[in-house]
Amino acid sequence: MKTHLQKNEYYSFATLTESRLQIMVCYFSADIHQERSARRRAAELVYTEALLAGAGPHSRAVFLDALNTLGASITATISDGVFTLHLRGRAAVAQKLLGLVETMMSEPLFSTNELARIKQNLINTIKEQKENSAAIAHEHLRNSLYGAEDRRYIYGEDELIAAVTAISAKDLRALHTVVRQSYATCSAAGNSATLTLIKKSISKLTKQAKSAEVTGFHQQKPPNPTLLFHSVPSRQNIDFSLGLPVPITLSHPDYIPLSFAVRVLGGAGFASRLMNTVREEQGLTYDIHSRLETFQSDEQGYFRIGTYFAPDKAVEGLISTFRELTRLYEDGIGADEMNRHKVIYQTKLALLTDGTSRQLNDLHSYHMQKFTLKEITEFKSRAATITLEEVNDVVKRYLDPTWLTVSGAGPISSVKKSLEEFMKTVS
Amino acid sequence: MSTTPRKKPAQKVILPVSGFTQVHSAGGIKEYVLKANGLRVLYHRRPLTNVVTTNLTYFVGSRDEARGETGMAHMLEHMLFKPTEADLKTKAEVSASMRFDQETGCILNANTWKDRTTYYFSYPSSYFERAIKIEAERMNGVVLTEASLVPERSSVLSEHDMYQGDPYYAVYATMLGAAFYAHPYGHPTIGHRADIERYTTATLERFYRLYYRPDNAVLMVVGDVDLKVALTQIKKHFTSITPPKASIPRFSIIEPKQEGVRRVSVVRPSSMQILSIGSKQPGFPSEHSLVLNVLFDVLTDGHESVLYRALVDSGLATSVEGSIEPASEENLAILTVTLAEGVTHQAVEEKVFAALRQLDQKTLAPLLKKAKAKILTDEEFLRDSSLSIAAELTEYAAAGDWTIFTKTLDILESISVKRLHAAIPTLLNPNTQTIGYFIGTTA
Repeated sequence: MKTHLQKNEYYSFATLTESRLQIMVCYFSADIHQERSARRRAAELVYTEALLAGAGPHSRAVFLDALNTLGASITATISDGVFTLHLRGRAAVAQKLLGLVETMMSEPLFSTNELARIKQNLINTIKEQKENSAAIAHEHLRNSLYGAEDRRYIYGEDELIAAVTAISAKDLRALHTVVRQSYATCSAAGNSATLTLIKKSISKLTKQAKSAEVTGFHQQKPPNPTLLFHSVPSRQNIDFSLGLPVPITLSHPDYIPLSFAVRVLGGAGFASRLMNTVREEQGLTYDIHSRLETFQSDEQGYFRIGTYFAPDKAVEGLISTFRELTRLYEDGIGADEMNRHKVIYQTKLALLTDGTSRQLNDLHSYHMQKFTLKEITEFKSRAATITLEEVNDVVKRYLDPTWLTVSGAGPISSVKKSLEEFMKTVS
Repeated sequence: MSTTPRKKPAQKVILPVSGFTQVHSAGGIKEYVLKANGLRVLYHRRPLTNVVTTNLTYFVGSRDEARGETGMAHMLEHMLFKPTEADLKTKAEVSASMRFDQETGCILNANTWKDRTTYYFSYPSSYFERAIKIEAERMNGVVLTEASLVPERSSVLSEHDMYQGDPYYAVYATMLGAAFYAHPYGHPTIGHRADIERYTTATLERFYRLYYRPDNAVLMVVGDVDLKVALTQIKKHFTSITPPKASIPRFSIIEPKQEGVRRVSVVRPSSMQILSIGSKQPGFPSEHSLVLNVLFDVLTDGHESVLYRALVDSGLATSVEGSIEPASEENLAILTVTLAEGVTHQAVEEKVFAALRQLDQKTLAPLLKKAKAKILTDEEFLRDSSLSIAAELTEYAAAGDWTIFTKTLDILESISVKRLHAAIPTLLNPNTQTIGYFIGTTA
């Protein structure tokens, strides 16, 4: 596939072109992080549903009928302050699909009846999330690492429900203006005729774009090792998110060596230490992984280990997890391990060619960080040239196990005390 | 399930490698049989990607497990990643399969289902021989020890608890047991906890020797590898594996006739309320199963679907979902509704049945057209990667006829609104229904 990227003052457009491609995929994203509040988040949730609930001359029923007749899909999301439209369909229907998107983005109805329906559905969905223990553990960790105005902060159920209830069409129109005025980052895959059509649509949709500036706050907190609990008695395992803030951005020179170390620890499946020891050798869990999350070219992300343990194995599981992180922190990684993981990384890159969607997801993730094609290549190549010293140096700098916050959600009542005792030994 | 090739040999085809018979060709996929031992091979070339997916599927799953030994097929799947005889000869502490992942970063995984157990790798083409060699070594060289079983059992129990902690799964597993008194489809693939806790290496070994044999498997090769190279390596590594003389044991169990609706409930502290309506349906990939797939799409997929409009848009439910498992024999097709707060199971159950009864051909016609368009799009996307092609082909092969994979779109196109409408009564028949309530309590 041929890769291309062009930019102007309104949008940036990256493409994967393959003449025989009979499908099309397109991401249309805009960073709209201007403020973070329960009301703004509620507006975002309602807005993404309302976009698909009627536009121009089309009621919701007519709009959905037109979309589904094409066999295509449009998904609208706002996550961590980034608006994204995801379009997916056969190349043969691209023109009609793009026509619907243009109508949707130009003349959304935000009708009173639809608003009432969407708000009720959203409130039901928010309540349903009460039992998602993995998500809850993760959310509590994030909230311990970021201030309430940061894009990563997640509002609680009651606060969000109250805010959803208060959302009006005026809020949605205001948010829509923000979306339309924001600089667009688009990535698409298809044949050249399809991509020409997509480009025309993007040009139309970004005529109102005014600025590439993001004005929202970024509020990362310093490490504050804490034990956070949330009881979800219906679950059988306790989900854990263990993490700490990492005060660097994606463009910082330490990012690549640090991401390499985190892959060695738990980001490469069975090739990683955590899966090898905590799961394979000790059988304490079915899944354990580590990642660097939500880093941006100009904002600081965090390190997280995600896993779950049965209540009677929770302390043993955490001891084992901490032991592996401590081993990494104190001893670093070895030359053989480094070389092996360099090969693994190259394989992961090679496997991207098996599937259009996979390639485009990868391209769009870099594109969203304002990378040029040259910078993407350089960024990926950098993993091949980093040294052992660089990796072990950043581990010492950023992954001190005594800084870890532990967030657990699940049937915790029987083990709460022993977990508290354990945390005392860590600190 | 028959394990011999199902198709008569086509015209004599000259193959680039001796020792194989080509038994079928359809939709760009060719089927060969390794004469030495009956191993079936499905080959599908996808040039210029430099990626290959190999997928070895054994025709053994949870349906082959006896009472007291549920979950054994799945447990064995885990154990196939432990060191084999070949590994021990080289004093390797880690199995070749795990080393493949740990040294190269290939995609490695396996899964077990009612009728099958599947192992797959996806990797750059240059590793093709390594992947084939691994599959051959573990087809008859697995070594089962207490030392390797103990931690793996613990990991499987963690997996079991993860599923069981999910309210949707808890009610699903309970419904299976009520729907099938006799047939082994009545227990979940992962097995019952007490059974998992009691396996021994001896019972696992017996199970392994019965079912892991070349004449009970199909090896799929999908991706950027030349046919001659593929067949040469398969012949080199698999020819020496001789199948046992004993026939492959199969349960032949006919579920006793059901008389009336069966109802189950799971009650536990939770804020969730779930309704699941199951109905016994013919196995996959019959024409009926494909019709039912379309019907479930019409009923539950997207904001325009019948039950979404009736239940979610009206505020009675948070979500609706349909699930049809690709199993070769009669199995439960399930509609699941997550209730909104304060709504009763009974009220929603009545609503679901009322919505189904009200469906006429006039209403269904435009929905059918749109479901076909959507499924056609999904298929185009699905066939865009070797990994997903192999995954889908697996279900067809395990259910008895992979060639239907190549005819799916034609069958789909031929489904009429009359045929779709005729499938609705199969969801309403009380003599096939099992209904489950997940009842969350505050206590």
